[in-house]
Amino acid sequence: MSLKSLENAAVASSGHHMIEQKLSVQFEDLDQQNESYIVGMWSFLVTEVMFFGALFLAYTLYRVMYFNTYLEAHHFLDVKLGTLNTLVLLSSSLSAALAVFYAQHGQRIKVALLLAFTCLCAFGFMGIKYVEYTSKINEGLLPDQNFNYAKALTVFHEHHKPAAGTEENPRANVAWEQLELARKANQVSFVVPKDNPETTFVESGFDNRVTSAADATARVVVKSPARERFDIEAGKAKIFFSIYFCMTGLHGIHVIIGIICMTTFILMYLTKHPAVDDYLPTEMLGLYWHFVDIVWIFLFPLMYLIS
Amino acid sequence: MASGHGHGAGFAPDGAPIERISHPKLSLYFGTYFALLGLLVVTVVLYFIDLSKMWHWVGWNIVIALIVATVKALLVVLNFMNVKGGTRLIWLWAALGFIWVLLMGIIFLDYQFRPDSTAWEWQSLTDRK
Repeated sequence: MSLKSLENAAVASSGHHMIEQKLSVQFEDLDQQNESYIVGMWSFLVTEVMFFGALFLAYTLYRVMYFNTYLEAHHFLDVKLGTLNTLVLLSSSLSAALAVFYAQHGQRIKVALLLAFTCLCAFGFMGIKYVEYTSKINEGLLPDQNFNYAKALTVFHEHHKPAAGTEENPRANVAWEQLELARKANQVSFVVPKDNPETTFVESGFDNRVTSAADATARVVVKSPARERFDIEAGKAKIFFSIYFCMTGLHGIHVIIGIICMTTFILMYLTKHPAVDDYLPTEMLGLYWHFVDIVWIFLFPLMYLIS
Repeated sequence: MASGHGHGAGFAPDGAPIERISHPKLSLYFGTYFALLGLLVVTVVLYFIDLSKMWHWVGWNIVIALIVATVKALLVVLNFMNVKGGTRLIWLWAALGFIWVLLMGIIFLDYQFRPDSTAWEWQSLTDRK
């Protein structure tokens, strides 16, 4: 059965004409009505730009202040997953645009299918984000009381040793150098077994308490000037991760809202709900989704690709 | 068929010209999508190339990355969000978001005129070896 046979016969036969719209009483004509819808949605999007704009400003200020920290801390973000997420979101944006196109032409089954694909991409995006967040939290990079930059850096340097011959950017090593100095100052070994780094650091603090599980391998250090300098560096990294979780989290909330709205629209299209007789609600949903895409277009190079 | 959906301007009952939203063809959406994918590749490749070695200034990577991101955002705004086919009022609102971001940049002028703080690591943009 072709898609067209599922559509209303009159609509299907005139595949490239716009659907008929109803004029609400408060408008002069359809052009005014359409413009009002779109402008209304855009004014909402401008408030969203302000919302995210403040966070981008915080990001920029701290990037200028703590550039070395940003450079070092961004290595914890996975460029491959970030790229994949961008790809997923761009594809979802295409299908959202196509859904709007078919909504304008009254082909509701196609709209529902395209919105379902968009929804699927949104779920994929959130799934990848879940993987990323989980690994950050396990590494001790969630900026709460369990934030443990010492552990994260140690695991990172034990497992991602640069290949011989490649030169590391010295500016991307500030915190790591301080951590090394702190260790030398206390002549304490701080070993991470390669097989299972997670279980070794059950301890959240970087003080002289040692838990039984970690006792054998990880002896943690006492305060020293080098340790204090490291704490300052860790505090700066904590700011980076606060901004990272704040911005990507807020963006993720927008994605979830998008999923809820799209699911509602799919149901309305499938039940021929009168609210989607007009294409404008779908167009507005599309505008929202493209906005979410644009936020990610900026987040991706700013968070994952610091060089 | 709704009469009000051709392309170009029509006339209101009082004779004043009306602006109409025009809608793009399907091919534009696919073109935009592939352009966005191309720019995504550019963005990622750019990350692995150190432009400062070529052009003696560390800022090039972020400047070009932001230019690419802005071009991508413009493609989405103009084509996917159909501001290109929009009326002047829609253009105005879309531009407002951009203007807001530019206004925020003025905050950096304020920081420019503050006394140096030791807590800050102002990065000299030329000290890279």
